[in-house]
Amino acid sequence: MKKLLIVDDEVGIVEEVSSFFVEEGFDVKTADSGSDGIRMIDSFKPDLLILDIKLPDISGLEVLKHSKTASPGTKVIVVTGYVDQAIIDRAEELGRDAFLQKPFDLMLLYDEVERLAQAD
Amino acid sequence: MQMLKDSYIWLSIFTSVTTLALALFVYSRARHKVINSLYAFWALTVGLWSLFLALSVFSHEPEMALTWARLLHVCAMILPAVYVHFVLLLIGKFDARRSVVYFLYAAMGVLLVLNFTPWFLSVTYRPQFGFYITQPGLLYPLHMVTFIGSILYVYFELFSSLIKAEGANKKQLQFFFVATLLGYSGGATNYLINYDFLLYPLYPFGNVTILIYVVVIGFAIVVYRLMDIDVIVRKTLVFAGLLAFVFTAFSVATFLLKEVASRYLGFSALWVNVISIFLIVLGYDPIRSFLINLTDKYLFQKKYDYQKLLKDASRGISKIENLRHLFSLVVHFITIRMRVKNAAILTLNREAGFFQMAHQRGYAGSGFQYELSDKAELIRYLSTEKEAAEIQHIQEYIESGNKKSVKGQDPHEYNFQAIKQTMAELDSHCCVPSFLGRELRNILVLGEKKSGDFYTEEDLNVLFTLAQESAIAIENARLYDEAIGKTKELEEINSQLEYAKNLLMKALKETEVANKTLQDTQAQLIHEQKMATLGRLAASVGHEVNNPLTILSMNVSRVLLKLRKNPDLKVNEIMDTFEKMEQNIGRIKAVVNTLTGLLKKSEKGKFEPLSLKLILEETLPLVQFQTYLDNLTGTEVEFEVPSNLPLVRGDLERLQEVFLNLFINAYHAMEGRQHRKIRVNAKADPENPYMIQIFFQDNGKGMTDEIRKKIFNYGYTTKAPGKGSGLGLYMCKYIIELHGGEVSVESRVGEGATFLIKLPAATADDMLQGSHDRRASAG
Repeated sequence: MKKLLIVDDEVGIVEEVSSFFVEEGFDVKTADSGSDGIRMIDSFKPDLLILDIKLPDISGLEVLKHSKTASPGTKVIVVTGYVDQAIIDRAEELGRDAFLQKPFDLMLLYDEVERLAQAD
Repeated sequence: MQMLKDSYIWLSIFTSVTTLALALFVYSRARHKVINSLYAFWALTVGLWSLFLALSVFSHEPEMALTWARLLHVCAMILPAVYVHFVLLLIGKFDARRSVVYFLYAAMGVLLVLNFTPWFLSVTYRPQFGFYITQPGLLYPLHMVTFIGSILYVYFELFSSLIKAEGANKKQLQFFFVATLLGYSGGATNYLINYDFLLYPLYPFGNVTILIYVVVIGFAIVVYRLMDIDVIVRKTLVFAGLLAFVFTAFSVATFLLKEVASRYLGFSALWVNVISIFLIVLGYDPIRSFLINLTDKYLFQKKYDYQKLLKDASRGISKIENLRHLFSLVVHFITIRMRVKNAAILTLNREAGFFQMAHQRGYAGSGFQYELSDKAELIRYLSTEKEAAEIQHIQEYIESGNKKSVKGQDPHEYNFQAIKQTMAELDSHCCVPSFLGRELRNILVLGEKKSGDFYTEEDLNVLFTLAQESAIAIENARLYDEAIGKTKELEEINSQLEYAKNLLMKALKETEVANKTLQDTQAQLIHEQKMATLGRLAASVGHEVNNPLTILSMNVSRVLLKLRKNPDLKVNEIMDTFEKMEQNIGRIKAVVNTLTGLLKKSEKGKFEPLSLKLILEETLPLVQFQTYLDNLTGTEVEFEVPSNLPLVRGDLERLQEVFLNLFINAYHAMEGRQHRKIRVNAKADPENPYMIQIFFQDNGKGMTDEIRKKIFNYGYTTKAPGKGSGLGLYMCKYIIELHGGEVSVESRVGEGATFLIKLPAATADDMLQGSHDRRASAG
């Protein structure tokens, strides 16, 4: 069972994504802030991480950086409503595995998750 | 022998008259002074002695000759005591030698008595001389011993003083010593004849030395005490010459008329006298002028020099226009011509209120400078007396009690000691005032003469004249210098003005350029700001819309997935998904509505300057209405908004919505508390003057860090289900951000919460816009 961590401050999105992937047979955990996310990465060691950039405390980019050093095996899918190219580029530099622009289709997310899960 | 007798008589009379005149003159110059009186008395005695001598020689009867001889010896007896007294006074030893003088006066008394006894003297006719001479008696040597002893004593005293004396004083004493030696040697020849000892021409011409002697002593005394010796000598000589002329004219006329006129023409003696007087009257003035010129030319060469000096000086100084040169010329001139050791000019610096050294020469150190206050006693003296201050005069005034006697007036009192002090500081023996009009403008400062001589009245007169002339020249030069200085100053000012003008023009141009750049920059900034606002809006909208849109999209995807798996799916099985979708659509609507509303208002300039206090005060009743329903009245509310706080730029209704939310949240946070207090205070942002900080503080239950981080999230609420929508603070944040502001919160559990809101301050443009709008709406 693949372990999936969702880090997003948007309650609605977290609920939807988590219930969908639970149904799909993933071990899902959620975090609604950057610091929470980091803690979860350290303890949960997820196979997959769905990460929002805009978080209430620290930037999602920081969480990404942490994930890549503390848990290199975790595949990271960055999702953001930002249209700021600099942030998108920075995420790529930091080694995100996939990028989805909000609003995204759930199927598209599922496809990415599946693809990355297979690649393992 | 007639010639011998006649010349003896004439010389004696001449000596007598001259001496008497001198005695009178010296006495009249300073009758209050013992030394002058004593000299006058002594000279009178000499004069009378000479007169009696002439008369005794002239006598044809032995009785008459004896009487005159006794009288002339009265004088001869008085002379030693008086002379010793006089000399001791002169050399300042009188107090120490008082007993000698008293002894001599006592001896004089005894001799005067003995003079009229038959044992003292008698007269005998000497055919070889043709007149009666004195025959010394038994007691006569007593007189001679006294006389010669006195002279020797005087020599001794003079000589001992002479050795110790210095400078002018030494010269004076040398002069006096030689004169005394000469005079008494000549005078003593008269005693030789009494002992039948005759050595022509020592006798009778030896008596001439007495005349010279008296004149010389007079000279010494007046110069010593600073009287005008030139005048004395001239007057004496001219008088003597005139007298000689009168006698000669009278004698010649008498002789001629007696021998010629009366013998051949039978003229009476009366006519002879009339003609003589006529001749005298005719000859008097031409002879007088001739004598004055003669004495001036040969005896008073100096006087001539002075006049030449004055002429030279005047010619020189009137040509010089440069003040500095003029000062140097005048100083140079007086140094060289007056033969002084040092000289200087002090000139009035009216602004500073003192006299300063304009030029100096001969002072130790070329940098010698002196500043004399215009309040100094010396200045007062020079200004008031309008005459030179001469060190000997000043010394004399100090001795006579600091008073200067002025004829027919009360004596002027000065602090002569202070004047002397000042002159000593200036190393000056003579200070000559120089007036322009009535104002004392310059002072010629003269040091000691190189010769050591004192300044004579003549010197002082010449210097005074020179000083007045130079005052005019100095003033001219000063004005000329000033004019040149003014012209230069004007030129300087002009060039400075020109320079300043150029600078100003340059600055003006630069300002124009800067202004243009500023305007451009401002336009650029405004544009950038607009873009930034737009960008921020876009980002904000993007985020706020994207999230619900994502959920919506996922909802749709899930429904579609469910339908694909189970085509018989009933609608009510997926009803909850639809509700969620509706919720998110509503959320998007709210965001878009708020945005479009704000954009409309912003476009129309509805972001207006607002008073924060007003916003708060208008919001509070709405809060109280709502909280009344929730039974939350009785809360203390405090606003601390400084009156000078800038206005806030924004939309009144939206900001009221923000504060309403904050109030309601605060009330709920304080629910169940005994003392409820809300405090709102505001101030300008110390980091950014275009922003205002608002602290919204309650003393409610506070919150955990966990909650705090999520408090502005959409749909996040800590309230019981159905009570909070999770929208209030989310909208607050959204509205504040749309205003270009920020919001954050600080809190601890149990210690209440403080929301920090930053809102932009209204700019001057907003103000104008606002007032314009109000006017427009009023119209």
